[in-house]
Amino acid sequence: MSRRFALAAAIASASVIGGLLLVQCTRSAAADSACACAGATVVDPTLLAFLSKARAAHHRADLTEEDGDLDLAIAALEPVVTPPRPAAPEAVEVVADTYARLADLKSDLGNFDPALRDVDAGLLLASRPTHFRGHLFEVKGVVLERRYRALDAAGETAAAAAVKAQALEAFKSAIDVQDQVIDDALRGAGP
Amino acid sequence: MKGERKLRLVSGGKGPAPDLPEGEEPPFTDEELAAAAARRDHLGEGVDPLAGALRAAYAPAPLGPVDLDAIVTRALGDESAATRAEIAAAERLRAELDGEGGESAGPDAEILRAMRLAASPTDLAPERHEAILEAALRAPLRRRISGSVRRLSPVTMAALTGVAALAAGLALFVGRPTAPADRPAATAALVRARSADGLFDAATPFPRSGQESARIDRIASARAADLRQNRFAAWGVR
Repeated sequence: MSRRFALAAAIASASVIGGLLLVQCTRSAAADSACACAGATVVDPTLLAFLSKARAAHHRADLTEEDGDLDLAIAALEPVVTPPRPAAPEAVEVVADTYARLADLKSDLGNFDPALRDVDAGLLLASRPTHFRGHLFEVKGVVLERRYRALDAAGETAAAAAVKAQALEAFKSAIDVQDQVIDDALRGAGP
Repeated sequence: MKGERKLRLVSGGKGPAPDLPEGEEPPFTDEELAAAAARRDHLGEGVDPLAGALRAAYAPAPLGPVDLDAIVTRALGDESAATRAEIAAAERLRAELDGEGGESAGPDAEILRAMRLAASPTDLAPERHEAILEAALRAPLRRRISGSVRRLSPVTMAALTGVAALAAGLALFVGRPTAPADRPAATAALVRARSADGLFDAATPFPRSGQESARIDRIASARAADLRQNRFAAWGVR
């Protein structure tokens, strides 16, 4: 009899604990949904993980660039721009900045078309007037300037002139964006 | 040899011990003679590898021309040559795999048969299928019938208590007044993801080349601090 009672008491205790756990779970689920109810992206571990990955990739690229191995530097940065990535604005900006660096490296190696494709991909991501967008236009100008010099050295004068005009236009776009950033900052600071 | 002790058969106690003089043995029974003949025939077949090895060691027979040719051919590189013993073993294995050996199939044949069935399984005979199903269904039913009466009381108690606990939990959750005013506050307390542009001096554009690592360092450090703040907020620490 006492054995049966002990068994029943054990099962009953387990049930009570299960009930309490259910209460706790439903409460935490409610709390979690409250955090995400507005659909706002908060700073979370996923974002931090991505930023850490990007940070490591850039430092790795620094070291390989110091050794003069630009191909290895490009390979180190490629994973940052490869999906998936968080949708958080700062993550998108980091990817755009990485595209700018990739374009710089690729154009340094004479790969102008892939470099310009990287610039375009970065500009699609950094669509707002920020330093990141301005920097991308600046890098575009650098890439086109290098192409211009290469064409000029090869004796292709007409093509070089056309590319030079594009480079000037890109640098002008960079200045425009930076001006807008400064204006926005001054407006935000008030009179 | 005098004085040596000899082994002799001792009856198993089923009947009275024959009254024999010392050193004499009872005559062999018909059963013993039949078993000895069967054993002799079995050894003569050369099936038992141990017996074959003992026989070969004790009285080695000359190699037959077929075996000799096979051995020489193999030594010269042609692995397809087989001795008579190998051919016989292969034939036995084939017979066992084809089911001609009946229940006396050896372990090799069992393994090969299992592999063959695994690779291309055959349908179960309907009678065998029926028997397996019946046995599987009968066992838990028997256990349930025998155990249900004995465990009725504790299980009922536990079930009732469990239902009561679940109901209490549900009542606590449903009946708890929600505080809609708290929820936006909780969300607002968490730091949201946002543009990193604010981390940099608006009046100082990025350098034309380089400093990318310094920028990502600054962004990652700032967001790490934000994440810490969010964790404290989620824990209710102010």
